[in-house]
Amino acid sequence: MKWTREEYIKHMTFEKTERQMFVELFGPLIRLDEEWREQGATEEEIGMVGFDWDFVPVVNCGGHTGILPAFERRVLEDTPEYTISTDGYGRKVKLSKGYATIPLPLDYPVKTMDDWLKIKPRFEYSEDRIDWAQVERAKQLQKEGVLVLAWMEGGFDLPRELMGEEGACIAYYEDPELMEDILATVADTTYKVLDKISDHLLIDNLCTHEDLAGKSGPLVGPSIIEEFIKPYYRKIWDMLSAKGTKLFSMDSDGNMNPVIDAFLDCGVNIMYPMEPAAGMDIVELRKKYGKKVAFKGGIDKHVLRSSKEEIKKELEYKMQALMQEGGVCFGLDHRIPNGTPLENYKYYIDTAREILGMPPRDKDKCGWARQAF
Amino acid sequence: MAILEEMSALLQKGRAAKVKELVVQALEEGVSPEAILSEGLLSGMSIVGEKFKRNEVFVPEVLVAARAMNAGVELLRPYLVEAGVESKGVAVIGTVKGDLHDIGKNLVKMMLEGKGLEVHDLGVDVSAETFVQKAIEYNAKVICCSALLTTTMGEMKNVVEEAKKAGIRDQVKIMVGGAPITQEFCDQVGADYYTADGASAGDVALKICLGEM
Repeated sequence: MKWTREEYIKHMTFEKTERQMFVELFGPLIRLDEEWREQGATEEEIGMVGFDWDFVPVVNCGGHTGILPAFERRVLEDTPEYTISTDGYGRKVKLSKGYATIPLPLDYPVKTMDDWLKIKPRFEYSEDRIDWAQVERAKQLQKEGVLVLAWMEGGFDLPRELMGEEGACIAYYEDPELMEDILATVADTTYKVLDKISDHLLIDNLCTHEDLAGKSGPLVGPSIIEEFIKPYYRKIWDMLSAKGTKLFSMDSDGNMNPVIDAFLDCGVNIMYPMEPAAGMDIVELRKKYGKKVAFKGGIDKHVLRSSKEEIKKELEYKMQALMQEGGVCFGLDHRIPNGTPLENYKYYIDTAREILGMPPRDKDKCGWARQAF
Repeated sequence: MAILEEMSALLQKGRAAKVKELVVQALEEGVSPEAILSEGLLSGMSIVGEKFKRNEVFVPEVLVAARAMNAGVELLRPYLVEAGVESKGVAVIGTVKGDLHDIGKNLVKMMLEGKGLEVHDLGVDVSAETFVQKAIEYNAKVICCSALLTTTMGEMKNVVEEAKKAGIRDQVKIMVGGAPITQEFCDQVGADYYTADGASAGDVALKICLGEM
């Protein structure tokens, strides 16, 4: 079912919940389409639209807060096994074909303050960061129930993209002025872009992507977030929330438990995808945090490769009454993994809908949109 | 010994320059290289590893501590060689074929080094054949395989099979880890040990090398 922005915002702010929201956040992992075709999937199912998913349509607000202009992307080497190219950050990146969907950097542009100063102008404010035609388009679509998104760079993620994980982590201690300058620059730019846009258009959802945790815990702890990331987040969120923005969502895989408090203190009020394999339990977190934070995801993707009994057990636990009071978009905790039988996937959807009191899947209703925002 | 306790404490804070100063001072005071290594450097790194396991410190703190440890070890190395102090064992480590992620692998490497092991880092996108060839070349007792992707974790089975093919399966233990890896998967592919975090990997690898596992 297609949700409106009003319904979505009320649901995610615990204001009003007449119906549960059951979504597919990311879609399938690479090569799953081949497996499902062999199992008789329709093209609608391969494209994810054939499962009658819940979704809220979204539109970008028209602001660009990242690197601008991006570096030219060029393919340097293409073999049957991999592709090496340059990306928008000017990095050399490698994609392992058949294994990964995202190319990974082989080098990083920033190692010193001098390196950063060379590319800093690409992160500073300029008028061309706002596409006013897109702002107007978003304004019209918003009237039709479309959710308006504004993306900001991750306070951990951007330095990581520029310096690598280890380079960024070391810089917090050995070159804090560099880290502060990167984040102050992007904070200033983001503030100016979104402040101007939000004078014309109500931004519904501020979004950021951090991906800063592994299975055993986050890469950085609360003190780093408090010192470096919070000033950036609060500068943007305090301005937008004063203008009526209700939702601030953050994407991070892994075990985020040790830094949830720190990010709530930064203003975040929606977290996803809440990965159970890394110890994220949305039921326990709801008991601990109540209505301070909403969740998207939370259902263990790996369970789809086990038995139907295990799938049902996971759904009954995650979808218990406590979790049906709003503030949850139930869904898998990341892409649908390889080895997921189509039959199990359909069982997962049908069983979840039953537990959530939703009507049976309508095979004639086509609908899905990526909900990872 | 007070100077070694101070060295350990400074290492935990990542104070590389001060650690180096204290290594020199300790040598001048006649402290044995082995004691400096085990009671000053490795003990400090071990505490960092335990705190990391409990999510009391995080990657930046581990990295700066590891840098401080390595700075101290580099200074100490000629003295360790002269005194005939050997590493506690040898391990090879890498991220499996098709997978280019390295932060998890690098953390495990630091934890193994913090236990006094000699670690040969094979990098990322490492084939099963390379894992085994290098294990033979370095006479390693442990092969550590890392994977972040569900699409690449299957390569770990190839490492196990390659070790069998090369006839070294009973001479080497294969450890597996990474975001999608579980004990069940470890058992399924016939690897020896799975650990959920880098610090635990260090503990297990040390026990393997000491013949305790």
